[in-house]
Amino acid sequence: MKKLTRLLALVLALTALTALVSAEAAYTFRTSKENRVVTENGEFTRDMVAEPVLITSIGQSADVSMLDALMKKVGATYTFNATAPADEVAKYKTVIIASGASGKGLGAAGISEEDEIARAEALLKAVEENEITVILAHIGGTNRRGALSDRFSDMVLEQAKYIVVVEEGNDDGKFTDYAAENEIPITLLATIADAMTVLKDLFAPVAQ
Amino acid sequence: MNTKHILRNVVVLLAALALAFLAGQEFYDLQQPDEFYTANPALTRIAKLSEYNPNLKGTAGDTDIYVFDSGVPGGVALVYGGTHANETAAVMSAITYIENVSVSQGKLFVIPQANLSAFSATLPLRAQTGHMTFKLTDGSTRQVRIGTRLANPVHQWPDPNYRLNTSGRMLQHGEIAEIRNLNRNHPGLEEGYLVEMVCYGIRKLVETENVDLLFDGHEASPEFRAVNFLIAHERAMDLGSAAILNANLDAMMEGNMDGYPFKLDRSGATSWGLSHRALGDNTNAMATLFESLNPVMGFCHDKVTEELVKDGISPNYVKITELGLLNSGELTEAGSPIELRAAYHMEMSRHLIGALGELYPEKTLTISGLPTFNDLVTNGFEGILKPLK
Repeated sequence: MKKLTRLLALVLALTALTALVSAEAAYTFRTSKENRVVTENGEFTRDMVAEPVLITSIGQSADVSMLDALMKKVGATYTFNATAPADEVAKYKTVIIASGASGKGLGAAGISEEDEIARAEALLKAVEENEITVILAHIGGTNRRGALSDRFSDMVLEQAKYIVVVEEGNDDGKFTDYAAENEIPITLLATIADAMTVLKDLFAPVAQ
Repeated sequence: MNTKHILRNVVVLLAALALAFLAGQEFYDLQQPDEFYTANPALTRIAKLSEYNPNLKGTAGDTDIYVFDSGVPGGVALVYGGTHANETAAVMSAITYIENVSVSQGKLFVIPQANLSAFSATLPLRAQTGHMTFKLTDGSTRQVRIGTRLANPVHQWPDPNYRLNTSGRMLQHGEIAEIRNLNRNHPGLEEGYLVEMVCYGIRKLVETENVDLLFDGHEASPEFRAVNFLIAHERAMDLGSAAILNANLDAMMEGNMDGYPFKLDRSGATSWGLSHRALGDNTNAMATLFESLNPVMGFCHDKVTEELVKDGISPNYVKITELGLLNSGELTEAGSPIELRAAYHMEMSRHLIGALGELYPEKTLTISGLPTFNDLVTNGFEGILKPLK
């Protein structure tokens, strides 16, 4: 009987511990209706970006087109090439990379997964060698999570100096955890339209 | 045969005739065309698809095209619903355009029932309602048919065993009935199966009228990964992204800080026969397609009553959502009502038209008069549709 009581107590203790750990692991959303843009781990400011600026994609999702529309809206000066090769990337000082995979996007661009991974590797090598500032933009939410999308995002994270994420895509804390561990500024957005605030601060023309 | 037997046989025969009459009445009702409000002063004329493919004249595929021509040079758009006659929000969105839109620059074509034949039958064995009825504020009613996603086999039969259609899509085995699906047979054939000829008519309309923007309205099941997605041909990606962004910014300005759940995806390279791929590849139009969330389209839908079609409240899908089994089309007890679904279609198409002029000023198409998102969601079709008399 004593043994049974001890066993029961042990099971209860383990259950409580598991609940505690999982409660700690559960992600708490930082943005809200009132607080639509939240930045952590310091700031990323206009003086940290240099021209010329390129927008490209790793994963060929439609998010790069949304990023293009956002940059147009804020009046930024930039070049848009979703499939920019490494030698082109090397000509820029700042590269914003929309990460996230789309089978349709890869198909429409006539690129296989393997080709895109090879392009990403070469591109990120060029970034490192040329000390180009990389901004990772994950703006597609949960639709741009999953094995292949995460693989592309992980590659970009290694070179990222700043991370911008629509928070829905960070519901497991993937990006905030990485940013905290590596002390990279990260901005969380309530919706994709809130990216206007961030991009305006960084790229909108300054009134003379 | 004695009198008793004769009497029994007559009773059985009469009972069978009564049942056939009752069942036939419903089928007969579905053959009657829907009546639309056509007193919108901005309506220039009602054309027929057979003007663009004469082989359709006198057939069940010769659908009406509502033309709004400002007479001022500008952009040209085609907004259509009823590619699939059971995807009701797209039909209602097109009807709302017909009744309310005004065009001050450019030209707008609206087709509410693109696959007209599909409105004349429901899918066998689904016990699906054949109509939606809206009681208007003046006490009158408006009724719109609900059909199926395929043309009526009465109009196109038999399905072949094999068809390599004009898009390069190979129809065979389990997919062969798709020869009656408008959204598998673009860009169509001038002379072929009925649905192929309808597709060809739409293609010729796009070519003849120099349509710049094409919007094909659809509805998707909760299981579909791309619920509330705008699917855009690669030439329409700029337009699509600008439209989604503008729609969300407008929503935020109006106090809807969550914006709309719209997302963008590129037309698949192998989406052969679908409007966004085949019409995007074969015409100059920027082709787009939008999918709203309708539980009727799913495999686990409840009984397809008028209430389910209109309110979109599905206890089955609420349970499935609570079990965490859906990635995209989650449903709560609030449902996915037709006013909301149609309002999404209208916001999406309206902002695409707006983005057309923003990105290509020479293609500006200026429209007004449409109910706002809040008007539609708050007042419902009961408050938006116009009485016929």
